[in-house]
Amino acid sequence: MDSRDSGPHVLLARHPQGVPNFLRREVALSITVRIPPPLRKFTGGTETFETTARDLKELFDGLEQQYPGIKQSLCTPDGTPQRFINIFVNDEDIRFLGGAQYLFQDGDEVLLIPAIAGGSAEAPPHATRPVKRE
Amino acid sequence: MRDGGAVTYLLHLRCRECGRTYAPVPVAACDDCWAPLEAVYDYGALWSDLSRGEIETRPANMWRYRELLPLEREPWVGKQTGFTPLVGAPRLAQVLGAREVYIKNDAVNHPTLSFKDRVVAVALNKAREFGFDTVGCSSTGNLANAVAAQAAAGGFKTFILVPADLEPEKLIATQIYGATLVKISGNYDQVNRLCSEIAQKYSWGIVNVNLRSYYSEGSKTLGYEVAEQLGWRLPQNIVVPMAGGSLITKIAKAFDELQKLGWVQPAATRFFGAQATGCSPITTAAKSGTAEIVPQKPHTIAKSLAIGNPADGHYAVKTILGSGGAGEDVSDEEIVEGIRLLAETEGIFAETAGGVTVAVARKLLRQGRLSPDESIVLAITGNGLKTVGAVSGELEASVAIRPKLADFEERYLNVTAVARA
Repeated sequence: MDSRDSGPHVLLARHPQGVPNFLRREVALSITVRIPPPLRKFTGGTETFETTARDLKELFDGLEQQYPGIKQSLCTPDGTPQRFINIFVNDEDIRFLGGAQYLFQDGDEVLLIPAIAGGSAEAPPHATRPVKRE
Repeated sequence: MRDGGAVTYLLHLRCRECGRTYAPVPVAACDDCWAPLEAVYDYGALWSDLSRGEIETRPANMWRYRELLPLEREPWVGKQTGFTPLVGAPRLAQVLGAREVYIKNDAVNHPTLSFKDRVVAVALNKAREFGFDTVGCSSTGNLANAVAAQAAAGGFKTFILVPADLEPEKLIATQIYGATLVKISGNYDQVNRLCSEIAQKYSWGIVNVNLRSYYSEGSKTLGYEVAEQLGWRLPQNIVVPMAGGSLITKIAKAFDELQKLGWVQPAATRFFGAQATGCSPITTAAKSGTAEIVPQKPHTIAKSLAIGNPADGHYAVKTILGSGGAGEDVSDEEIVEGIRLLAETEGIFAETAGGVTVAVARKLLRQGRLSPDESIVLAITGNGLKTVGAVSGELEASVAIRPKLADFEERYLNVTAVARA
């Protein structure tokens, strides 16, 4: 078993229903969000974001607080992830983990990846532009 | 073509959701809403400059429709790709209980025996226009073969990412071209995620990522060809296998463009999408009447269609439902039956995706959702020799006999020694 899969903090995070709120606040999670190139215009180029968010909603809110304007690229006003963004927790699509209900575990790495990812508005430096039709 | 042939009718790329336009650069998704980008052409100029008659004088390959593709220079790789046979299939039609069935046979596409040769031909020509010296893809097999072969011919360095459990034929038919084959222990969706991360970091031409807006346009040529081969007529129904869901949307785009240009009579073709039940995120959505895709973990012998999180699934469902068609899926057993049925009636050996298409057509006809009195085109997109493992266990193991006429007659004609005497 992976070390981050055990320990009392994880058990609490996994089973929050029976845990009083004051105890939940004791849970000190640390998760890392990797910011993809299309979103780095909001982060001033920063590639990672550390957060103690417990779920997706808190993650989106935390990002917005740190980088105003980023949230609307990630989700609808009610917190539903945009259709063209895939969110992975470690190697798994968050939709297979419960989506918005998933509670992050300490050490989780969150990847935000466009469904059709990649590319930039710049061609490689050595590219030459072909002749356009007149 | 005008002065020197360096002519394009491509205007720009446009976001399918918010409509923002982009100059034709290597970018696949909108900066604002992350939605895919669609190539937009100057149809007015195309209408005045190009005619069916002109097209008909050109060589039998996909570049006869060159002005409807997003290249800005003359193609230099994949020059013989496309214009595969459209085969009338009367014996299959009889078994299916239909009147007019055609096979669009991309199982014999050049050079790697699948429809992916079309999209890769566009992508690699575009990669050269952009100045990429390294290309790559994530693939369920056919795309890997097509990229490896055409990149070899084009002199590109190549990285190809595939799930490690692919059919051995498809692995060999990638490595033989000298491509760097990167096997990943994971399913296609995981392979694709890694490929996306690579595309974000390295300035390479990844055909199904940052070249996707161009690459996917190559699929339109299958649609143009079907119409031209039917005598510039659109079929009433077409059944298309779906993995990422792009092909079916691009055939629809092709049919729309042909109507826009006045090259075919307006017709409302119904689009039917085919998947394996073991990986059916698109047909599941279509059946419940929603375009919201819920991802699945694939488990099917139709590995070329095993994409659980289809990038164009949303648009594929819209195409299907908007046309009055349907999505349907079939079991692995039905897939094998479909492969055998096509082979035994029409002499065409399709890969598992072809088995899916044939079996779905049979199911839809039985359900009465495909009309037996209308024309039906089946898109057969890959070759059976690439997935022999799917059917080899189904065939009777033949036992060797001695080279004696008596042995032959006894075993195969039921002629006994007594009867001969």
